Amino acid sequence: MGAGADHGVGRAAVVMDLTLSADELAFRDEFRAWIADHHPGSPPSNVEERYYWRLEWLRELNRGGFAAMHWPSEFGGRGATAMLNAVFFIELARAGAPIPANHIATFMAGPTIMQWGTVEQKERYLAPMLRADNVWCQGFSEPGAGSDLAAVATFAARDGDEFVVNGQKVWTSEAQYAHFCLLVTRTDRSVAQHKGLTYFILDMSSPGITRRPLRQLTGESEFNELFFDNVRIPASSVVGEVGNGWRVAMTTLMHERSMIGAGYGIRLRNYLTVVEEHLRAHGLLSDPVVADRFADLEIRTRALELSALRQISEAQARGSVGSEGSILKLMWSETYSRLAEFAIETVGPDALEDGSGWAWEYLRSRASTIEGGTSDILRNIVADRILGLPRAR
Amino acid sequence: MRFTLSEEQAAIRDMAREVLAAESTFERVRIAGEARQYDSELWALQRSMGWPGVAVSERWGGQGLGLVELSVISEECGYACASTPLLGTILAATSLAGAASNEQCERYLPSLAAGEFSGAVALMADTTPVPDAGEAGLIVVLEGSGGHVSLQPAQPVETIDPTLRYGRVVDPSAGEPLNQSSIAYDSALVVVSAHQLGLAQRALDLSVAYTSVREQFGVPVATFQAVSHRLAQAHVELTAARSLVYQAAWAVEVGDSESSAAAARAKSWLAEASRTVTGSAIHAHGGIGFTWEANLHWLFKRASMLGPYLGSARQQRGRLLEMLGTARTSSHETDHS
Repeated sequence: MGAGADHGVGRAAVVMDLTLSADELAFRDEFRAWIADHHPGSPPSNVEERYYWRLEWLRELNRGGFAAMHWPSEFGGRGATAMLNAVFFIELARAGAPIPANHIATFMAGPTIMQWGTVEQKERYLAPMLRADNVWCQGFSEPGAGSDLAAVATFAARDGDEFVVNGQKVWTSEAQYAHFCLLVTRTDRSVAQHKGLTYFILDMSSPGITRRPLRQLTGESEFNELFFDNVRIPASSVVGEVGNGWRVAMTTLMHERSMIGAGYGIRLRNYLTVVEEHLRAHGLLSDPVVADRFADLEIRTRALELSALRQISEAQARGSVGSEGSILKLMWSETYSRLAEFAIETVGPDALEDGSGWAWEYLRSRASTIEGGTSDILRNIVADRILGLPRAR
Repeated sequence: MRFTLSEEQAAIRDMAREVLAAESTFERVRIAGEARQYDSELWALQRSMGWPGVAVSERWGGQGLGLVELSVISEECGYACASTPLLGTILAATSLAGAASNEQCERYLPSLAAGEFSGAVALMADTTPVPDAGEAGLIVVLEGSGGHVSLQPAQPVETIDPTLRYGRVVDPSAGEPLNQSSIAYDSALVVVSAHQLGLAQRALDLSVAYTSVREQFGVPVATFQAVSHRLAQAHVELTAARSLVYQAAWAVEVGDSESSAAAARAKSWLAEASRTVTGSAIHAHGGIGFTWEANLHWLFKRASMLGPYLGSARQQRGRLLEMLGTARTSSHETDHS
């Protein structure tokens, strides 16, 4: 029906349209040309150097006006639709360019401050994020408050125009580089758990902060522990209001998951391509079992890419972002883990030698079902908020 | 880019859902299944609403809508587990539109569009029971390089799914030859996948409703994560399914370069997900789910029958891999698809 058939099924208007619109196409061409002139080359192997290389990439993108597609133009963004933002990520991936560093600032802190921050906070913090003058980290999780975020125990006691913070955070990504931290604390122990929380912007140069990198099972350190010993924060650094921290934190998390679809679908596609090239180069696809499993992984990857685009379209049609990002995160982590296991099994004995890229992906993929909302918590969200099932405990 | 049903398409879906909720209740499905006869009243209603000809050109008495609209109708018929020869008939009409000459279209499509006779589509050299072939007036047999259309009767086959009349084609080479049929085959895969999506979506919706009210240990069983996570996982699989089916419908409709791969992905995914989710729904209902009266078995049985039809999940993955390999060596990457 369609191509070449001058008979049969009619030429009814196809209103569903999976090609790029004129605006999207124009942006794609503009950005594609820009990347060709500004490509950052291949990444340094050292973790820390790689981070600063990605930070420099953010600065370069900002000079081109591409650092925060989705931010409103008044704050230095392009006011881009979510779809245009997806095009941005697709083009990054196509060019083999990295996702810029400081995403906690551009995707989480920025939108949160835009929604809840004071005029002073917006003026002070937003523009430097895009110039990469400010690096941000996210102080949510604690040893006793992982999936159960409302159990946060780090306490901020009011003292005149200041709060005095004592406690501990954990799993704080990029805290070793950060100038500011999105900090969720308890300020009132006498009310219901999620009502006694307050959200702060913490200056990481404040006295009393100890940062300790966590060595993860890959041997590297992406995450940190943070310890607070009588750290003083001015009251003007409260985001939202005192006691409103839960709602502000939910804004941050919603923005975190909204980027997953586009960004993570691409990571998966790139990894799949690497695996496919290896399989083809070594003739491994002639094994029908290997071929079948690879095709299944390709379908899963495509399903994630398409579901991300479909969710963006539906959110735009509806005018609001829902909980559907949880579904994409579930798809991503499950497919990523399967792909990493498949690669280890098919590449052969060399795959698990120390320093092998296959081994790194295999080990790193173990975090995927835990970080950014465990698969178990995400299934709770799907059950509660999307299927409308009675709430599980 | 807009990857969502238009208002008109959503309206078609809502209309079909409403009509079938009233006219294809599980009681009606059960009566048809137990009698091993189609629900003739429902078939007459579907004909009167023009469903057999939804995607047939107006030139031949159809409504002239596209494959997305046809998929919406197909999905809703799966959702209702409707016991009529609509699936086979729209498959035959779609296949002919893709593979028949003008003269053949003129001869057969008006009758199919009006539902004057029903149709069915089989694959050459494939003995999988063909839905709606048992009583079909017109049989389309597709094969790589062409195919055949004939008015021969098929050999009826009684299967585990008595709500559709299955059959096997007696002489696949009989009848008039058809032209190149990849569009016909891709369209057929999409229509079947959409039907399977509907079956699975219904099973999930029923499970959500049942586990929300069925109490054990003093609480609804859906409050247990062992239950709710099973249903959440089914929803994730159907989210992927819906994306694959409707992208494939769009791609085949517009003749996108990815259309054959998209159709293979959709059929592969749905062949497995439809059976998994309908089976999982039986489990989620507990003992009652295994009973005749629970009605879940109608969905599970049809999902099981349609899985291998027109090429199993595994066969579709094999086709997909071949297509990807070819794409790798010829043109490089299509834009954002």
